[in-house]
Amino acid sequence: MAAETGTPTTLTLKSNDDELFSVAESAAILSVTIRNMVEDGCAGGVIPLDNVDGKTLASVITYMNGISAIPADEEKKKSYRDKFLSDKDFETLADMVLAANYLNMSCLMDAVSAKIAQVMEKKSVGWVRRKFGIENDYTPEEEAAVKEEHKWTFEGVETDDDN
Amino acid sequence: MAITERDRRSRQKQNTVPIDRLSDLPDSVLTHILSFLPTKFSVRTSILGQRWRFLWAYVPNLIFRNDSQKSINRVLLLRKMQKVNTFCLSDDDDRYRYINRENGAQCKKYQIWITFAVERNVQILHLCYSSWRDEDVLLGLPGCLFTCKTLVHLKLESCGVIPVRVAVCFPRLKKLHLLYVQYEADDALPNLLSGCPVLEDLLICLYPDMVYCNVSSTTVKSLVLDFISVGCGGRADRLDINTPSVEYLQMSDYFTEHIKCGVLTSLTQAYINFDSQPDYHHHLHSRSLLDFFDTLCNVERLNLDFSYCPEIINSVLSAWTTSFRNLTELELRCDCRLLSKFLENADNLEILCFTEEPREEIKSWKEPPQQVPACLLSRLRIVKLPNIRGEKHEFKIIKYLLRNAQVLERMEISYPRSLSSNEENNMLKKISLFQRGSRACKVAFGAASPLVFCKVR
Repeated sequence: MAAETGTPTTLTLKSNDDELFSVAESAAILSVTIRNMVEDGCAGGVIPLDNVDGKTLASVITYMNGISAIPADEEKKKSYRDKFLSDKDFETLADMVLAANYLNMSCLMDAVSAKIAQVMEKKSVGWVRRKFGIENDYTPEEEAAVKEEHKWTFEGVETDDDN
Repeated sequence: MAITERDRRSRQKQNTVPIDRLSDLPDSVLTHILSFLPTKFSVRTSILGQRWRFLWAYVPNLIFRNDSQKSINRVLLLRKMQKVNTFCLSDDDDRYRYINRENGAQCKKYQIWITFAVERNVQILHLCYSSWRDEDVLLGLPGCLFTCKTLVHLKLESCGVIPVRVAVCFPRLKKLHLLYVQYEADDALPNLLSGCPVLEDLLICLYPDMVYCNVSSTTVKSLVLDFISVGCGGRADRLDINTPSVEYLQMSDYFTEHIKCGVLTSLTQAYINFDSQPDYHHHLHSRSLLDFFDTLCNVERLNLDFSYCPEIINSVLSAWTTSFRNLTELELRCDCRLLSKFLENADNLEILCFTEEPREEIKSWKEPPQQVPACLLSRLRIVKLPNIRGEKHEFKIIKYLLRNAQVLERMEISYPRSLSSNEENNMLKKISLFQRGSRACKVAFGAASPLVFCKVR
């Protein structure tokens, strides 16, 4: 990749709202999408990331820099990830999972997915529908049938509250 | 995971409709999120809407906690995904356990579920049962489990018997955690380990007792042996450890002269906690304890707790000269004779935390003989003394360290909360008058948080 002399070690990433970010190549290639572009020689100028907005990209770059600064110590990496995600609200997490998916960053994808799952587990059906933007397209009969089919999963669950 | 044109368009609109994001995620991402949920919850998401109705059936992980046999069988029948990545079965709720144990076919059920997972190329398999007190522990494990070629992580807790005459072949197994499992015979453990050519992480919590525990692996890097954990520690009359690649070692046991450990040249971190047992041979004990310490000589970070161990006899200890030249961080809980030994023998020690376990018979602090140890002259930066009670010999230790540690940056002294403010003031006054070898040295002094003393045992 960076074997030739003169290959830049800093990459410039462009978000879909035209913000530019500089990031060390060694940190950026945590993203397989970016790594592939670098390997294909497409990283000479600016790398456009059409599916990530500036705010999310800034956050992802903070993560890239933070995690790549930690040597091979899974425990420390895990605690960095936990700390990094601890203050993110659901909307930010949603943006992050989209970005991680697009950038093909499995470690961030896993951490964010686990966090979203953790939040979902405690919430009502109504809350999840709203946050995920899910339209309830069941008829009342269908909904009752699904509920009956998986009755065991609803034991002790109140589904109507909005918390 | 291609992003469709529809996704792209909706992304452009996203600033105006901020809430509608996750519904545009591809199914693969949604099932990925669901794979982190217990299966009961992922099945429950079928209520969300048409698109979600069968998403759970494509989740590669199966995580069952206190679910009934009927529910588990339903899920296994209805799911549409061929492979299983993770299969977890845990049962830690007494109420459910009771319901689960209606008939004698229980054992067969487990075997069928495990076989189901093995046949679907399971990578992570966790079986955790809290019912170890019962005959459930004797649960048979199907033979196919031991030749599962895809398994990367296996954790068995309070369930299963490791058979002795079984072909073991785990070509990919990296992590093996055995908590309170039974072994058909002592040979079952070495037999199991011999079939794990790439094992890196091994944890054994022993219960019930074993006569001869042989832990041998040329590849293991992280080894945790807990033989005295709360409530249900098991004992091994003889323990042999042959793990030359170990980098991280954690051990809790009753120390006997029947603990033998081979060379640990790659060791960087060790946490050793030895308890005593009522019948020990004083002289033999001291010698073999120090022989054991010798195997740790390459360590960089060491935590030694043998506050409940019988003391090492003087003549044996004074002849002990093993050098710990890589040691930079040391946490000791023992009597103060070992402190001076480590100061003498760890030339590169930078951080020291010492908690004295006072014994009536050996309270005298003896300064390291002759010249000041090398670590005090050029390395030791931080000293923590978390339990100073204001005794005479403790002041001698503090005085010695402050005077001789030439590059000391910080000394933290904590005393029990039970100390009166008068005693506190006297201590502070006394210590502040001590001569300091390092100009930069700061001394922090305060009542210890109770946590420091509430060591959970």
